[in-house]
Amino acid sequence: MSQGPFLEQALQSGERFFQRRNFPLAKRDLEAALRLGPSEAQAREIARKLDLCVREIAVLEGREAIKRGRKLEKKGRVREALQQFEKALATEHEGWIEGRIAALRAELSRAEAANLLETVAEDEDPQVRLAAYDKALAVSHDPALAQKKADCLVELGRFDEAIALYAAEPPASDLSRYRQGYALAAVGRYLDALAAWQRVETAPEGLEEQVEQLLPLACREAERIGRPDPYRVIAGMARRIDPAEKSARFKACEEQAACKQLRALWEQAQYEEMAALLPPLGRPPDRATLALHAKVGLKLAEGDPAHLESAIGLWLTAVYDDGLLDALAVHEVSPTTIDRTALRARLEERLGEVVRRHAKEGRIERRLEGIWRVETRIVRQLSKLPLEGTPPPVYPCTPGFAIGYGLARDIFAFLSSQNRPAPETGVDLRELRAYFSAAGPAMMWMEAGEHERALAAIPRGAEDDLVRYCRNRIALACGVAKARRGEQQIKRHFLDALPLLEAEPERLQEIIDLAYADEPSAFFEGLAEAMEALCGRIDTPKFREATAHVMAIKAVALLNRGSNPAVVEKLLERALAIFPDSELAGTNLHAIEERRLGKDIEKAFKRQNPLRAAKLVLLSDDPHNREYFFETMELWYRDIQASDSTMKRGGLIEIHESCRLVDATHPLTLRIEDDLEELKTT
Amino acid sequence: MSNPFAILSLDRTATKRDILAQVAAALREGRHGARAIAEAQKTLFDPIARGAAEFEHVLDACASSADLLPEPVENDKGPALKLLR
Repeated sequence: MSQGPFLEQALQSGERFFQRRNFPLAKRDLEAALRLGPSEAQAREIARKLDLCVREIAVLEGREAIKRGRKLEKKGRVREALQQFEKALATEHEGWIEGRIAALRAELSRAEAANLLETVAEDEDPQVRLAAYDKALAVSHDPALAQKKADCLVELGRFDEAIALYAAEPPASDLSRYRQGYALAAVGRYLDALAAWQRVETAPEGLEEQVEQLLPLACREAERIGRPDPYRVIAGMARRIDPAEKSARFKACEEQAACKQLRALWEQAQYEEMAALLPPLGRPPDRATLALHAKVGLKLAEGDPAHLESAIGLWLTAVYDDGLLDALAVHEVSPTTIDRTALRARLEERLGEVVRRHAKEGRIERRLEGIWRVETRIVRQLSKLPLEGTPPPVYPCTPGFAIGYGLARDIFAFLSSQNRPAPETGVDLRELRAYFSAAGPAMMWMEAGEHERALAAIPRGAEDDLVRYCRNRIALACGVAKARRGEQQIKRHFLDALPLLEAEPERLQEIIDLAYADEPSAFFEGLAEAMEALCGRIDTPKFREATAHVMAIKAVALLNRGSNPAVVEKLLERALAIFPDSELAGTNLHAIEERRLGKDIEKAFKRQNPLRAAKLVLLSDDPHNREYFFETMELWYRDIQASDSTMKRGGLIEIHESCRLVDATHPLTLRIEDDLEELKTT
Repeated sequence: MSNPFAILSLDRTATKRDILAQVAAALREGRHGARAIAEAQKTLFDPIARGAAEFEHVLDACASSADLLPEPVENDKGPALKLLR
């Protein structure tokens, strides 16, 4: 049977599908045509078209694979998606497909690694875990995995590798921080180990013991380095440990580290930092710690006057501590005995220089200078006081130090049990007791020049002799301070201080000195009033003389202000009543009297009463009054010359009588006499 | 006030002989100016000035801690630490 019609049919069908670009069906029909025995030319054409169909079909399949791959990727079926993209790559050699394949492969590796890590996470064998971490890290770098690898390395004792990994990526977990410290300790880097452990937020159980083991080693390492920084690490770590968990050995190490840190800081002159690290002085203060505080205090005060107030109390108390001075090595190496007083004076002067320098540069208030003066004076007096019985700890000390460190009560009790010292010692036991009594803070305010605060700080209620003494002292200081400023309201303060001034007349000297100060007269007005008020009760000649003197100066001030001379005169009369030999008061009073006579003479002339003027001139010692009298008479004489003879004669007789009364030999008197003679003859 | 002990690298128990030796060494090495060295020497030769300098500059920070640093507990390889979990 001829196959012609079937071949033709297959060829036509194949061609139709080919033209419609339905390549799979075109391929089916063309392959069928090829099997039906086409001619050679037909076979060649069919083969060419079949090639084209195969290629086009492959392209179509590639596109389909991409579509499927994308869908699978979206569904998270990474492995199947990867297969589809790999299939597509066989026909579609495009870069993006290669990129997708690489990404999917990486994702697949990660997922596999994650699965592996999950599987080995709890494995007790660090080698197994390390292998898993290595595999995962080979796929991608993950800091958390790197830390886990480092942790694993620590378990395996591969400390250097672990340290390198921790150094590249600071540990983010407490476990890694602990193991980092452990690895560092294992290679002998104890300070670094403690620094790592310091960063552990929740310490594993047993860390305290391990820190304790490292502390002595870290201290030695720090000592080798010779800088303060390493000790900061030790102190920082020690602070992290609960004090209740610290053993005696731990505390000993910590204390040693702290003192070595202080030593290193001292050598590097880092005093501010030292101040924050100094151990507390303790109650009662420990002698060695007092020395530490005093020395650091001096250094700080040298640079910053804000530290001066505390430095004064600390330094002076340390300087007056016999134990500290006796512990100096200089006693052993010096061929001669060290004069403790001279040494003390030198050390006292050392801080005195600092105070003066700051004062000169205007960096401190006057109150600090006052505090320096009183602290020095009182501690010196305490050191001179002959002692009966055992003194309290840290005796002698300054009042500021005693108040600040709660020692004042014991010192006050001790001082109260002492007998009054002999006058030649120069020690005022009552004053010493006052500074260490409950009124001590008030006395300190007084010395600081803050009198209102001082008065307010006097304890209320118990008004005993000592409180009264303090009140009197403060009142006197307040009055003197006001007088120094030339203020008016002084009398009240001096009267308040009267019992003290009566009991201790030597305290008047300060007021007496003020009376002779080189100041303008107005400065003395308030002082004069106050001193006059005191004179009713104080009978010291020197004080009375000074009072009269200052009252005489006040009189000048009043006159300069245009006050009524009668008032001034009364003031001067009172001054002379207080001290009759007061030269200044006498002179001033006389001057006022002369001035009054001059005015009265002037008044008499105005009232055309030359005879009264003449009588007043006779009372006056002032040559100006006499000159004024004769000058006025001369004018009158000339005026009379123009009058008629009767008037002239009467006028001349009146002038002559007045002039003769003052000076019978005055040229004017003689000339008038001549005129009167001449008038007689005519 | 400079620290004469530090300038001459001396401790507080230095004898006159030590001081002279260190003065010579300091001058030779030029660690400090001649004037500073001379002042340090002068201070250390004056007992009162030396006492004052010792009081001010020599800090015995560890005087109040009576115990010495405890000996560390370690074997040949270092401290015997157990890895905590």
